[in-house]
Amino acid sequence: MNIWFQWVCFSLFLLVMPSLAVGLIRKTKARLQNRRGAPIYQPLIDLCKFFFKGETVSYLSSWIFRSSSCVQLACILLIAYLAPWSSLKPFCTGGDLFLIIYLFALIRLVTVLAALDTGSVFGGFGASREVTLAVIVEPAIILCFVSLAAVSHTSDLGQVFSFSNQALHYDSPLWLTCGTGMFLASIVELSRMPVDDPTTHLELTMVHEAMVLENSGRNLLLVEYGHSLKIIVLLGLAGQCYLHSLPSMWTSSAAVQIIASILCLLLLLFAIALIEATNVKLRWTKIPEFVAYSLVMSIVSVFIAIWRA
Amino acid sequence: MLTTNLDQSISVSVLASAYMVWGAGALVALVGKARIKQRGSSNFLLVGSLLLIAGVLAGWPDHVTWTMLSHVQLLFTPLEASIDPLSSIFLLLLGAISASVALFSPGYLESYKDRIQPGLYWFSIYSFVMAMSLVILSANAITFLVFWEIMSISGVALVVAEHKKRRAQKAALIYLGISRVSATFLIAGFIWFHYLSGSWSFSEWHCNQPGMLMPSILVFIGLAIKTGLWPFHSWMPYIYESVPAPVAILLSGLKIEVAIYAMIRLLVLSGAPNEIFAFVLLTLGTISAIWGILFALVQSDLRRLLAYSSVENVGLIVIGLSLSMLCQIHGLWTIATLALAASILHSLNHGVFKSLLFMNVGSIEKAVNSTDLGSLGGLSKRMPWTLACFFVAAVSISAMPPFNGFASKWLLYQSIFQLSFQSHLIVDRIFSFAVVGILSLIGAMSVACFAKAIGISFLGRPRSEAVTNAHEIPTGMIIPQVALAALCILSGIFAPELIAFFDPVLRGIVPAAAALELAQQPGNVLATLPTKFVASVGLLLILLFYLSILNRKQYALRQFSTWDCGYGNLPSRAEETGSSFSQPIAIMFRPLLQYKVINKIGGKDKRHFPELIDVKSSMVPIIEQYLYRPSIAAFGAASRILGTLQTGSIHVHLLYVFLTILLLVCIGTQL
Repeated sequence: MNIWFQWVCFSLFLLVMPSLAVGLIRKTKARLQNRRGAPIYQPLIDLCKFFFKGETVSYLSSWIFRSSSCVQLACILLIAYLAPWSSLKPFCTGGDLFLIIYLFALIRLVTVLAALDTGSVFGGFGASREVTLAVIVEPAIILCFVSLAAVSHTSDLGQVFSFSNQALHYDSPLWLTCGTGMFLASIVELSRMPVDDPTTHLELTMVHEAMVLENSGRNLLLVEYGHSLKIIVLLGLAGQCYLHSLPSMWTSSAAVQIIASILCLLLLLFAIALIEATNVKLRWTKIPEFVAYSLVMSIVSVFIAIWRA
Repeated sequence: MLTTNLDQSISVSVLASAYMVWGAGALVALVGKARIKQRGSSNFLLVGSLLLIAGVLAGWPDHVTWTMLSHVQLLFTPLEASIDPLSSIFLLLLGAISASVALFSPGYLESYKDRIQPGLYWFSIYSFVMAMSLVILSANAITFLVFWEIMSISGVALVVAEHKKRRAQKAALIYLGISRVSATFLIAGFIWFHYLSGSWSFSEWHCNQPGMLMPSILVFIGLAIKTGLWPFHSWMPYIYESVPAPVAILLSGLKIEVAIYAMIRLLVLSGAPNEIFAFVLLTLGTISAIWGILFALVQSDLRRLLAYSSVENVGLIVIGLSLSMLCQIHGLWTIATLALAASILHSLNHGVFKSLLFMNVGSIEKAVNSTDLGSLGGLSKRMPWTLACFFVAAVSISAMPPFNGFASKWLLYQSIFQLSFQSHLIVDRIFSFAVVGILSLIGAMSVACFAKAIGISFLGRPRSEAVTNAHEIPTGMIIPQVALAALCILSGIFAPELIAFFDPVLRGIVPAAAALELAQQPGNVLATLPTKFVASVGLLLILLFYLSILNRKQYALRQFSTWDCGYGNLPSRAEETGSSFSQPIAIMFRPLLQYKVINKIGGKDKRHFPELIDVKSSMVPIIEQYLYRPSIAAFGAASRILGTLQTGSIHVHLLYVFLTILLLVCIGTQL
């Protein structure tokens, strides 16, 4: 296939899929709760609506507030193009593990700063909770990746996740533990249900929503799109881990891998919706216990890696 | 003076002229008229620093040794100086930082006119900077100790520059105390080294020879006390919260780095004593890093926050050094060089961004007259330049790509990561995974810490009257800040080139046999450092989004008050404070911090209409509380008991002298 055609396909996928993913979660959740729900493409329409609306900013805010959303989107786009989260991606090198982790950290820093910049009470709360969650969830994410990378002797995630990488072939236990660790960590990182409720606007429950409360118009468009892109990138990474744990995946053709990776992404989105429909939000003080599951998974994968490397 | 070619003679003469300019500056500071003192001293310091940089660059990367004042012999050793690639690197840092201090000081001192004597202050700065540069240059232990002591003494003079302030007096005593303890360890270690190797010269000391373990430990402790490594860090917050900002810059941006330089020279370049030593250092470094950032996060004063953040960064540097030692012992030369490069780069970076941060704090202090987070906030529009520089420094220190902190932390991560699969020992692997995990925890906490530092001090609503009246500091003080901020960005983006500059140092630790093997290995890890890529693509994307989507010319942008649930104009008290921002993390690490929150709610019907609400949180620095204070108290008690021997009567004292001589004679005849 022509490489340019592949890049165009991938970029279109990046443009449309995030919003559809959010729509899909909402629709599934609604159906599970016996509601009809908005159409799947509703988030796309919302984004268009934001584009044509005016913007309101606080008197208190400085240049940090408005540039923050640009930095967030730029970083997540960089990650999306670097990280091997989809088999649709034309080629897979250059995605350094530590770079990707620190780009996520940069996104977090500018989001937190934008939240504090408006002097909003909600923003302050959300920011404080966001950094707290990061402190417990970041070791889990990094240990999952490092254990995979140590076994394959390179920190380039593209090579780690490449299907031609023989070091991790038939290593299903490692892939499974890493996948689960990543999935649980991404629930925290994405502020989804047992940790944070993305649908309410109550100051007691919000983390991410509280931080972006002051954003409006096109500024909100950038933030919302960036956040939904983050959903598919993180779930895509977890999904790739699960795909690699299937021995038959390693020998199948590129087309099958692409279809499988999209299916896997959809499955994980469904899982998120299922968790959101059946679970209530945890009390804030219980959240470290939830994150501990993810940390345990990553430590198990570290032990496998120590044994295997 | 030993010169072999033209370049070297130029270099040495430029260096000598730098010292002459500095000496002249010191003289001006002592005897000049009041008006000339400020301007003249700062100009001489600036010119001297620039000359130093020029001299070092002209001689790069040759190795020159020369003897100062060859007729002065201390313990049969001349005062000897030598310049080689490693010392050149640290001299460049010294030049850059002292130049920026020279630019920053006059403006800052304006507001301290009646509290600091400019003559004494500038003279101490000169002797401090000159002594530090000569410590870096010294080629033998005696020279080192002479200038080390001058450095300590002028350091004390600088700490007590504001001599009428009670806190400064206390800080000076503490500083004097720790320099004495540190010097004791150093001298003991040096004498032991001399006893074993028969030479005072650094080039003939090799820590990896048998019997060198004990002196290495002594020297390490001596240097660690000066760098503020855990558990020797307790003195740092006391010093940094009470000294003038330029002094804080010199202490944290340079003095720590000088001690790190000595560690590299004495313990890493000469081979590590043994594996256990390296593992102990690795553990100390890791604890120091996590301890420092945890305590930095919960501080409510910017200066104390920065002091603890220095503890963290020293920990990171020591992690790199110990890793380099470990890999030298195991013969993993790629990782040994990588880890050493990480440490050197990080100590340079720390010198730059910590100096910048202290400059910013100094500017805030000048504008608001406080560094307490509880009375700052809302400075973003009043001090835009300071905010921009503080932002760059904070982003660099929390290791965000593509700034310089990221480059050094990336190298550190890479070297630990490489160890996890290149080493065949299970202990190495377990340690490397553990350290990676803890490093990521530290990374997340430093994001939290510096988000708090920017967010609470600059953003949101003003929390005090003083902030409402604050103005941007004069341009003269902004220039050095902008220069250092540019250095943060450039040294991040061009980090691979900067490390190529270190190459002669790194090659020094690799034995000739391994060097060939190393050259043949395919794939250089350094080449994959992605800062250039991130900087270019990231900047492009950000500009694209800003101009195409957020450009305010294209659509309506309205300004309105922040959402307040309809209550209307909330006071700044309703906002997140520094301590509430870090409270969830403080709760998580409650046992380490001894964190307690005491609520007092009172009144007749306190359930519904409380009349008195009082909330206090308290923390205890446990090392200080349970280790240092009891041991200082024990020393005090012991000296009181010994004090009873001091009768004040000359007869009794003569008896003591007689008994001592008798004892010595007995011992002498026995031998």
